Amino acid sequence: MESGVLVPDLDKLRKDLKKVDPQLSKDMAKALTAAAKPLVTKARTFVPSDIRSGSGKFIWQQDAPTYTSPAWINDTEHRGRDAANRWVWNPNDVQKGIKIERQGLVRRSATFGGRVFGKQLKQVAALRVINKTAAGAIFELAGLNPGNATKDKSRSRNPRAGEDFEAVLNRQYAITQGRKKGRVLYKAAQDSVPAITKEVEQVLTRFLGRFARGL
Amino acid sequence: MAQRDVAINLLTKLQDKGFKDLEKSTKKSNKILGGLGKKLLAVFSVTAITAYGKASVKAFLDEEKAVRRLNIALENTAQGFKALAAEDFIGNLQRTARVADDELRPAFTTLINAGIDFEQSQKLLKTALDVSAGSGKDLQAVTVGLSRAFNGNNTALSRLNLGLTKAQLKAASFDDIIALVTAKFAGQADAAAQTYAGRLAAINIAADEASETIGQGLIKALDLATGSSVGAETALAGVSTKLSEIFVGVGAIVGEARSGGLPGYFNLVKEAAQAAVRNGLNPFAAALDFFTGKGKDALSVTPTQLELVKKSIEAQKRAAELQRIIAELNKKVEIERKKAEAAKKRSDAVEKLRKTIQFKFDIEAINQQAALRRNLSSSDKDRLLQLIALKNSDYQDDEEAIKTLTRATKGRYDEAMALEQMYALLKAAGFASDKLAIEELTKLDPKIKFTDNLDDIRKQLAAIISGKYTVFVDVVTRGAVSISAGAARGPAEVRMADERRAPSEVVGGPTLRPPSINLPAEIGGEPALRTPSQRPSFDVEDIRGRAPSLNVNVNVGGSVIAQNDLVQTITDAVYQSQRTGNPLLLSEI
Repeated sequence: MESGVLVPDLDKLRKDLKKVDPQLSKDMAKALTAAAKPLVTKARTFVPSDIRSGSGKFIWQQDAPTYTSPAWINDTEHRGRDAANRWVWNPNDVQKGIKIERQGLVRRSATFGGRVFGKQLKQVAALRVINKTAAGAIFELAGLNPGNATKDKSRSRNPRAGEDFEAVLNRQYAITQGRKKGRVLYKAAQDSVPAITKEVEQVLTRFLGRFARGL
Repeated sequence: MAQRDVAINLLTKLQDKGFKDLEKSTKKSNKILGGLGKKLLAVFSVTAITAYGKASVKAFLDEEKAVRRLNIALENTAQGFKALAAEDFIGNLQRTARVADDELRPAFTTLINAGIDFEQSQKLLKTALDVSAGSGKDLQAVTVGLSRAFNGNNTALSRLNLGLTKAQLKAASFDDIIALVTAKFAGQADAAAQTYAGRLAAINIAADEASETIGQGLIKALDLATGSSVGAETALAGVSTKLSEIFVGVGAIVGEARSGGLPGYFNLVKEAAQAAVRNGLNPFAAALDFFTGKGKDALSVTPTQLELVKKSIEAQKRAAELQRIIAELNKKVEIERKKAEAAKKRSDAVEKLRKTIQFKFDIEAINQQAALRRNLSSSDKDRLLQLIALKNSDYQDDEEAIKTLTRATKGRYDEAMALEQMYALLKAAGFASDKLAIEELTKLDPKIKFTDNLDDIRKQLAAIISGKYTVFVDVVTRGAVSISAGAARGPAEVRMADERRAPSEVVGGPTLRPPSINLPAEIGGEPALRTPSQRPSFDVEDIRGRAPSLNVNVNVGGSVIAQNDLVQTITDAVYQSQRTGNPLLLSEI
C-alpha cells in the first residue's frame, strides 16, 4: 500500500491556514485535487466499453438478468448476488466510480520512513483516487490470486464459473505488473504517480511558503 | 479478511483514534510539519518557549536513558569498550538514513542483546532499515525479527510478510535469509531518505537533536544554579519562563538593531547597569531586567501589526482578483481575435471568388487573350504579355500579383508563348476544330495558365493528348477522296502508322498524312533526332503525281471568336501542310 506524501499534522496545518486566511485552505484543497485529476482521467481511459471473450462473447453482461425464463423462474439458489452492481457491466458507472476522495481511510499501521508514531495514531488518506464501484474493483483485481477469490462463494450453476471468468479476463485483459497489480487504476498509476506525487509536494511547498510568509 | 479499497493514496496524514492520548500524540507530531504552524503562530508565546524548555529536558533525559541501556547491553556482552563507537555509528546513521537516534538506539540495543557481535549488528541494523523502509514495517519489529532469526526462530520474520516462502524460511540458514532480504530491499532506506517524507524527517531529527542539546544545557544550568538537579522539574517552569523572556528580548533588540538602533539600546543597557551600581543594586540583574522587559513587550502582538497583516492579506486578494480579471480579458481578446481572423478569411474567400468571376467577364482581359493569338512580333507579344500580367494582377492578391508581375518582367512569357504556339499548332494542324478542342480542354479542365511553368504545361498537355484527346481530321482532297484516318488516334500514332506502310501499299488515290507537328516527343510528337534507318523513305513526286492539289476545308463550329483567328488558323494549317511535303500554292487557297 503506497503512503503517498505524508503530512502528519495536515488537519492542524489546514486549521492554521484558515486562521491566516480562509481562502488559503480552500485554494490548497483545490490545487491538491487538481494535481490528482490526471490520474483519474488516465484511469478512466482503461475502462473497456464491454468485456468479451476472445470469440466475442460477452463474459460480463450489459443488462441485468431477469430470471423469467422457465429454467430460471423457480431457481433462486443460483442467482447472482447484488445483480445490479456486479452482474452488469456499465462502463459509464465504472468510469464515474473512479474519483478523487479527500477523507478516506487506510487500514494500516502508521509508519513514516520506518518511524512509529505511536499506537494511538493511524495513517489515513487525505487525498486519494479510488476505483469505487464493485464492478470496477472486480475488473481491476479479478484473477490476482487465481483460485482464491471466489472460493466457497460462487452460486453459479457452473462450478468453475469463477475460474473461467478469471481465466478469460487474464487472457483478454492482462494484469499490469507494477508496484500494484491491476487493470485500471493501478495500471494508470504505474507511470503517473511519481509525477503526481511530485506535483502534490510542490503544491504543499507552495502553500507552506505562502503560509510561512503570512499571506 | 479485511476489506481493501482499490485506491491510490496521494496524500496521507496521521489521525488519532480518540482524544485520550491527544496531547501526547500532538507533541510528537508537532515536531514535524504540522508543528510548523503552531510554532509560527506561537513563536512569541511564553507558553511555547516554556513547553519547549520542558520538552527539551525530557528529550535529553529520554536519550540519556536509551544511551545508558545500550551501554549496559554492550558491557554485558563484553563489548563495553565500543560504547563510543556505537554512538558515532548511530549518529552517522541517523544523518544518512534520516531515522531518529531514539529509534535506532533501541533497535541496535535489541541486536546486541540477541548476542550478535558489534560489527554484524551494524550490518543487520542497516539491513533492517532497508527492510523497514521497503516494507513499511516498524524498524523495531524488523530488528526483533532479525535477532530472533539469528537465534534460529524464523516465526517473527514470517509475520513481517517480507515475501519469503515458508520453505525458504524453514530450509534457509540465517545468512541465506539475510542475503535474500538484502537482495530484495537493498537501497530502500536511501530511497526513502530522498523522498519528501525523508527530508521532513531530517528536519525533525535536526530539531530533536537541537532539543536534546538545549535540554542538556538547561540541566547543566540548573545544576549550576541550584547545586543539584534534584527538583529540576519543579524549578524548570519558572526558570524557563525567565529564559524565554530573555531570549525574546534579545531577539527583539537584534531585530530593531537592523534599523540602526543598536548603539542606542546598548547605551540604555549601560545606563540601567550604571544606575543599579549607583543605587547599590546588581548591575547584571538590571541588564537582565532590561532584556526581559523588552521580551515581555515583544510577546504581545500590537493592533498595528494585526492591521498590517490584514492589509497585506487584502492586498493579496485584490492582486489575485486583478490577475483573474486580466486573465479573463486576455481570454476575451483572444476569442475576438480569432473571430476577426475567421471573418477575414471568409471575406478573402468571397473576394477571391468575386475576382475570378469578374476576370472571366472582363472584356479587356478577353480582348487581350484574343490579341495574343494573332501573329504578333516578338516585342509586341512581350508587351502584350506584360499587359496581360498587369491585368491579371488586378484580380490577384498581393502575393500572387507579385509573382505574376515578376515572371512577366523576367521574360517567362516566352515560355508561355511556346505553350500558346503548341496549342495553336494542335488546332492548326487539323487535329481538332476550335470548338471541339476548346470543349474538350474545358472538360478536362487542364487549368493551364500563362504563368505556369512550361514543364508543367507540357506534362498537362501530354496527359491530355495521351488517350484522352479525340482527334478529328476533316480534310478532303479534290479527287473526292475523303479521309478520316486519324479519328480517335493521336497525331503521332497516325503519322507513324502511315510511315510504316510501304509506298507500294498506297493504292487508290492520294494519301494524306497528318501534318507534322513540331511537338516534343514526350507529349506525342516525333523524336527530335532520328537515325537514317528510322527516317521514313517515300517518293515525294509519286505523291505529288497522285495528288496534284489539295483543298483544306476547315469546319468552323461557331466558336471562332474573330475573323483574324480564322485566318490565323488557316494560315498555320497551310504552313504545317507545306512541311509535310504536300504541294500547296498560295494562289489556290
